[in-house]
Amino acid sequence: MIDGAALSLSLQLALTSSLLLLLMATPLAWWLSRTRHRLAPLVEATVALPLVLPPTVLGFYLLLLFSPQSFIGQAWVTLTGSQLTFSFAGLVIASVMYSLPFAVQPLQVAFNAVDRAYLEAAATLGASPWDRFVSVVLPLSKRGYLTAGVLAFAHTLGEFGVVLMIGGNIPGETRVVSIAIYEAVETLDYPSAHGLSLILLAFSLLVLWALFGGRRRAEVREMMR
Amino acid sequence: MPGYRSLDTSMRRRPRIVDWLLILSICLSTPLQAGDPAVVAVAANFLGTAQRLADDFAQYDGAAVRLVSGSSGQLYAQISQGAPYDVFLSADTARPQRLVDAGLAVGNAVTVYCRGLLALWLPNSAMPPALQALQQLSGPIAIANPALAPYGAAAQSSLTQAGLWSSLQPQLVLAQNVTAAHTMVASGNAQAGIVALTTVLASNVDASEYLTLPPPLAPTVEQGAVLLTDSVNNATAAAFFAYLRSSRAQDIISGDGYLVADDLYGSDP
Repeated sequence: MIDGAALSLSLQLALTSSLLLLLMATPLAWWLSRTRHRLAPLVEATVALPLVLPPTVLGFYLLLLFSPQSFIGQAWVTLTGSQLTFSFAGLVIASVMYSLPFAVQPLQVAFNAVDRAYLEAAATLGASPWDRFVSVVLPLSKRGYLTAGVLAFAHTLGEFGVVLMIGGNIPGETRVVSIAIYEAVETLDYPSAHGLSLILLAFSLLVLWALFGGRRRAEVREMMR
Repeated sequence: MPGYRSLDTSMRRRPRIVDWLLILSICLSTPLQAGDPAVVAVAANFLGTAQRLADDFAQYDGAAVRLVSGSSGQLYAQISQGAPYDVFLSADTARPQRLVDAGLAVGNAVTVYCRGLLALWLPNSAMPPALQALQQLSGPIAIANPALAPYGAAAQSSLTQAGLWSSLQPQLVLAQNVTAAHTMVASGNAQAGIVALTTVLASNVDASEYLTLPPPLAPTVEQGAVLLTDSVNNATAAAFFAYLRSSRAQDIISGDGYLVADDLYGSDP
């Protein structure tokens, strides 16, 4: 039997997290690409940490951080009336932290590639910093956004270790597809495991294929120009 | 051309380095002590006790055993794929039984080396710990996933028997194993949990915060051991397997909060 609820929950989680990530990563990546602050390398290293840390380490610290006994967990309970661990909101926050480097790094690369001369030209024409960002930087960074969005989405879709620690396996709330697959494998329910894995595999392949296809076409267009 | 020559000598030299590495690795891998070393694959929940057993066995027998830990399911899968383990201490009896049935383990029955007890852990509460007290809670209650972990299945049958299983559904959070359920309670994320007595004892939980759930309140979790077929001629492995049932070993096991063969609850198969 295919656990449709787990599939749709994973899609919701990945979509919500990647949209939030693009919003949050934009100012962070922009700052990192322009700043000469001596703490910038430290910030960059912090952003990259989820690439290095095992998900269970991140999950364990989030379990402590999100606990109603901690300051943050307590503040969340006071604000929303519900607990962060074992909730969809908790998974979104965890995914945003977990997938942050996948959104920040492509954007940073894209922003770095924006020629300062364009920005200076726009400034001499009287464009405000915001106008320069929206009319010059964003259109030039389209591919960076595409890569960041797809990577953040795909990475969240396959997230497992962190959810295992802080999710609690609640159907419709925190039981995402990777957890459902894990449970099916562990209980020797291979038909369900195959079904879900195949769907996840096919979907991920299609998304990445579309990304690389799009990127290749864009490169060809640029060469023809 | 000089380029060709240097390429040629480097091609000839490379096998020599590989040879040295091979000799070195053979020297390093030769055991220094007498007797065959034995590798014991142990379910993660039993690792602490297994370490004490291994230390005691080393004193008593003089031979060393090396411990490899993982979930029973993972270790079972590794053994079925030919992992070089000699003894398997599982957290259940079903997986060792499968190895016996497949001819991968010696004999025709699984040795029950201990029985795990459950405990209801209710920290930071004015109420004394009792199953019915769970109804008064509004927060999450942690158990191990009954589909994955024997301790979870035991917790489920305990709650079912107390008539609480369906009414507590909205509050139940499932951990991938009993240790993770313990962590959920210890970190304050779950208000209460049904966990393993041994972990409660090992983490020095105050006696007023937990209630042991012996039969008939909850079934015990039978943990089975097998000696693997490929290791039947490994003297250390066979000695360690026999040692598990000795009173010396059983004292260590019961000291950690497990029931052993001659205890009051349950019968020896």
